[in-house]
Amino acid sequence: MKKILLNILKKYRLSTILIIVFIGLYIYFFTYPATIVGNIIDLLSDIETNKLELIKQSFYLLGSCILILAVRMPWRWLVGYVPRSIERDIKDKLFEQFMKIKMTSIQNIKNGEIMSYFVKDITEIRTFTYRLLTHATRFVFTMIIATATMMKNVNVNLTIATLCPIIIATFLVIKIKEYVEKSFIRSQKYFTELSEYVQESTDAIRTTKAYTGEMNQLKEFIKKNRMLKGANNSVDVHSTLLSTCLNMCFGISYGISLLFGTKLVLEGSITTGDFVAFNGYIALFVGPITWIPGVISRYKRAKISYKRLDKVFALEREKLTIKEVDTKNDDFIGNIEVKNLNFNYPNSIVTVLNDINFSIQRGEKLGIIGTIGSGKTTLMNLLLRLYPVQRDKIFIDGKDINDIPLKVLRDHVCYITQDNFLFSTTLKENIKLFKDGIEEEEINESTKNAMIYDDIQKMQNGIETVIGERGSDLSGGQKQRVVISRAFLNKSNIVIFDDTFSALDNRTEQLVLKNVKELVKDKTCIIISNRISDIKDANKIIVLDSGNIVETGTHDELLKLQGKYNQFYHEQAAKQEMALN
Amino acid sequence: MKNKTLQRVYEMAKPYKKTIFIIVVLSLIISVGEIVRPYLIKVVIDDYLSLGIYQKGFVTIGMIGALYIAIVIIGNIIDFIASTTTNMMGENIIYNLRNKLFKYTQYANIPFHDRTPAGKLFVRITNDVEDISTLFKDVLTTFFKDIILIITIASIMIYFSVKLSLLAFLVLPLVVLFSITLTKVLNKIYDKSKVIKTKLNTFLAESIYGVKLIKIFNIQREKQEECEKLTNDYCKSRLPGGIIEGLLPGLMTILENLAISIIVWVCISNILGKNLDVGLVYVFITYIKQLFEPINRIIENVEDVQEAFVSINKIYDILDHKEFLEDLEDGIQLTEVKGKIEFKNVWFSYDNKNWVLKNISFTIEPGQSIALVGKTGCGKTTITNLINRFYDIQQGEILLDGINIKNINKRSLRQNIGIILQEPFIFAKDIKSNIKLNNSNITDEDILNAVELSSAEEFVKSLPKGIDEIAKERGSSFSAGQKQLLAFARIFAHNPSIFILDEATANIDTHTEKLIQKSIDIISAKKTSIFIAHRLATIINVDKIIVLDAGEIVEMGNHLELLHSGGYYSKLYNSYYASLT
Repeated sequence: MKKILLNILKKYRLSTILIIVFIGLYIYFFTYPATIVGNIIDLLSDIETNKLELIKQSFYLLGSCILILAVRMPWRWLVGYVPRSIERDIKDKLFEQFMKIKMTSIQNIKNGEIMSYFVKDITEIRTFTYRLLTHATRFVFTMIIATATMMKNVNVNLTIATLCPIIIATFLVIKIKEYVEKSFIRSQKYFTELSEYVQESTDAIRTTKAYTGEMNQLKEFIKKNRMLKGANNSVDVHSTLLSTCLNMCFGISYGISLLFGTKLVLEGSITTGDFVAFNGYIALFVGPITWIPGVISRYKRAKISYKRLDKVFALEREKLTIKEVDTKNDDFIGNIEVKNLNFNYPNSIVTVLNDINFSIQRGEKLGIIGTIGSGKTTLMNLLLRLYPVQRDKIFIDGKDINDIPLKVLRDHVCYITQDNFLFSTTLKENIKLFKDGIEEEEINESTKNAMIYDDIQKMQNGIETVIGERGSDLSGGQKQRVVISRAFLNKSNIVIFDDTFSALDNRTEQLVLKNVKELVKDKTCIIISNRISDIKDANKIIVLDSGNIVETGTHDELLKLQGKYNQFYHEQAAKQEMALN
Repeated sequence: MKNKTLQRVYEMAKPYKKTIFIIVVLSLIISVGEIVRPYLIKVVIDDYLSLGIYQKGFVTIGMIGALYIAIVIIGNIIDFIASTTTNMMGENIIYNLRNKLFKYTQYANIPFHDRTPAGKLFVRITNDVEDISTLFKDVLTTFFKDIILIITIASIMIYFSVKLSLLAFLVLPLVVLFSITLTKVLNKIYDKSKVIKTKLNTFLAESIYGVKLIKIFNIQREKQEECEKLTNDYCKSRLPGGIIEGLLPGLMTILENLAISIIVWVCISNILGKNLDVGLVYVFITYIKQLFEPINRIIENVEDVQEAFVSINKIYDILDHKEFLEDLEDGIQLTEVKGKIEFKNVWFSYDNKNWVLKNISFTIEPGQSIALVGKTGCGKTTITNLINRFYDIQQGEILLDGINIKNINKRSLRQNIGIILQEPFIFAKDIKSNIKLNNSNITDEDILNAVELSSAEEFVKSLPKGIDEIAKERGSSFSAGQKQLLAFARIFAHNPSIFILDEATANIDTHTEKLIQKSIDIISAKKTSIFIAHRLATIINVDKIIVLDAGEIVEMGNHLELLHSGGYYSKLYNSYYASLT
């Protein structure tokens, strides 16, 4: 992460230097109006003689404002540009990282958590860079330039005296801001709790009503709401206290300037104009001091976020290619052999697969059946090495699967998963999966084979129809058929269908299965399904139960066993019937 | 529309009339302080410094300085009190509104929840209420102060010099104009950027969700390109905003100093016909600066107010519909329920257009068990939702122990009906609370008994903390079967007179299924039971099977009778076996 961040920061070195130059100029120009107003005040004591000078000064005043604007614009643009570009670059890097790290690592992070890396943590880092470039630099320059101007143009002792309350204000504000932050975090916590409660309660409304628990639900809500109110009040009181302290200290500064500045005027060491200008300089400190606690708290948050991101960037990536191994693809046949395979997920003691043995040759079809949690999908994940596989357990074409580069392996295995995942882009991209060089004709052909062609033609934009988020505007069956058409477009030698026919009606299913049969004629095919009809013509059927192969054989052989398969068969008969009618 | 909104705001604020009055009075005092401060400096400049004296009559500059500091301190303390009071009031208004809204969602009937998505309610209670809180807290705290400040400053300026004030005010329309136009442009930029941001986040979320697919099909590179394009678009979309953000304050500085220059020019040109005191010029310059701040703040707040108004309307659109609220206590209190249920010519429709149930009549004797059978959408679930009055029927009557359920109070009706939904809702609380569901009549012993009776004991004991184990959100750590077991425990603990089971369709392992069957047998032996069956195997033993088709009863009788009659049910039962062999 450190290396990545440094590389990114290097790109914006020049812009950062420019920002610092501009901000220096900006603060410097910003002292002008106060000085000029001071001059004007002095000149006004004798208007007649100073007429010309006054006009000149008034134009200086406007001129200085234009100067301020002239440096402010490019500076403001740059402080938008640099942090946002850094944000973009980190996002790109993080995305790359997520696409490349191992499934085992991803499995351990919740999806929402990953999103928060992108939307929260990177934003924290961006916000901190922004604050650093604007507020912190502005604070430093104001402290230097405005103080120097006050001392040079007016009086050193007066400057020191009036800055005292301002310095006190700075410390007070930083301290109070800590409390604000603390109560803010508390308030956020209660808000999240309340939100979760609301979500749960609305989802649970039928249960609540069935058990007439409305009053109790409300009571608990009020309790949570009251906690939130308390925390919010605490945030408000502290924030108000913060601004009150700030205003008070500045007010006292003006008071001190009134008490001692006037003395200096009466002594003759400064003019009335100087006194007025001096008040103008004090005002320059207000902004920067208000911001400084924000910079500090943002720094703290960014540090936490940095650590979180650092952990992600430290995760190991998958190796897609193996250097020593020739990555030529021609010799990939597709014979699979699994020997004594055991598996449990990392950091888990539950055995998911236990002593699995089977083999399947190119041109054959394997059917797998079993209840939820029997390990079917896990077995397929291992065939694609989405999880680490022990040596000497899985062989493809006689080669240990670990010796096959991931890229080669995955290019040659077409795995149609059961989750019907569609990207929110066009149907076309969803079928060809962003690959170039695929003819429209081929896509149409594959959709015809998956029996989705007619449905697509009926849509307004045909194959160019954009899918709503997660495929929400297609029916379950349509989604499945779109996903299945990927298999028809794929040239892989091994094709796996993982419960991908469940949402199709009987007739469509039979038609698709017929086309699948044609497709896999000369391929290795694995079909996982809970419908007997999907797998009954397979060369071999495996019955999985809690990670064990309990029965193996053809449809007829298995029926004769009068075991689990037979039981499935009969249970399904009844179940399917209910759904069918 | 606008008037209605204002009336709603008025209603919300009405209980706080006194508080608001106090706040206004305090704001007035604060504004006076704000005005007096520069005036004191004017006095010092004109009456002391220009004459070169320290003491005039009785009053010294030191005394004025002390007065100045006193005003600062007192003013800020009052400001603190006023702001805190406003914030507390705002927080109270929000607190009450949230409670009211949540109460509404709890007491609103099921038809309301059918037409209002849970997500919408969630947004109303959380985000929309937050929007309103900005109105009552941030906006209101400054609004009274700002308005009063603007009025007092403007009037005191006019008091000092009508002509000078009017000339200085010339820039004000420009301030408003610039501020409004630039804010509009800025919002347009941000709106556009928000769209891109949503697109980017959607992309990120779905890529994370679909990372397995991306790995399987080796499309990391394509996705990376897409990511980089989107992050770049987003980064670029924000940049023009920086220029506007740079422009706006710069323009304000120019206008402010333009006003000052105008004053200077007026002085020189002698329009006023007399020489102005230097101090008066100073006080004018200061007042103009003071005037800019509240005006800008009010313009900034306009948008927040608009947003809050939209949210207020959205919330009241819900709250104003009192017709959805249920009165749980109205009607006859049931004492001893025997459990006889009669449907007499019941007609029901969800939308008053399409009949879901047509002329349904049947009787269930106390202790009898019946099963409702039929394909999806035939109305079997609807029937169970009518018995507990989740919905009210249009025609006919439903009787419980001979009493029309319309006349029974909903609380006692629902307490007497125990229903298990297909996917029972599990709260994110411990198992104990999930069984007890806040019913204070249920003792810990009852809960343990219920767990034992429902055969959930084995499962509960396997949890690390047993009965005190806290379930994950929506019970996601439990399987469908385990959830059903817990739901049975609920039924045993609450001991209703009538039992309704919507059989789970999800795959349940054989072991759990046996346990569930055991619970079913225990309950149905004692109570009037209604089963919504998805598998024929479970209902062979019930007293009566009611076969439904398109909202009508087509057959009624026990398993053997129906099988022998050779009707719809027997076809249902036989056909699938036939189709397979």
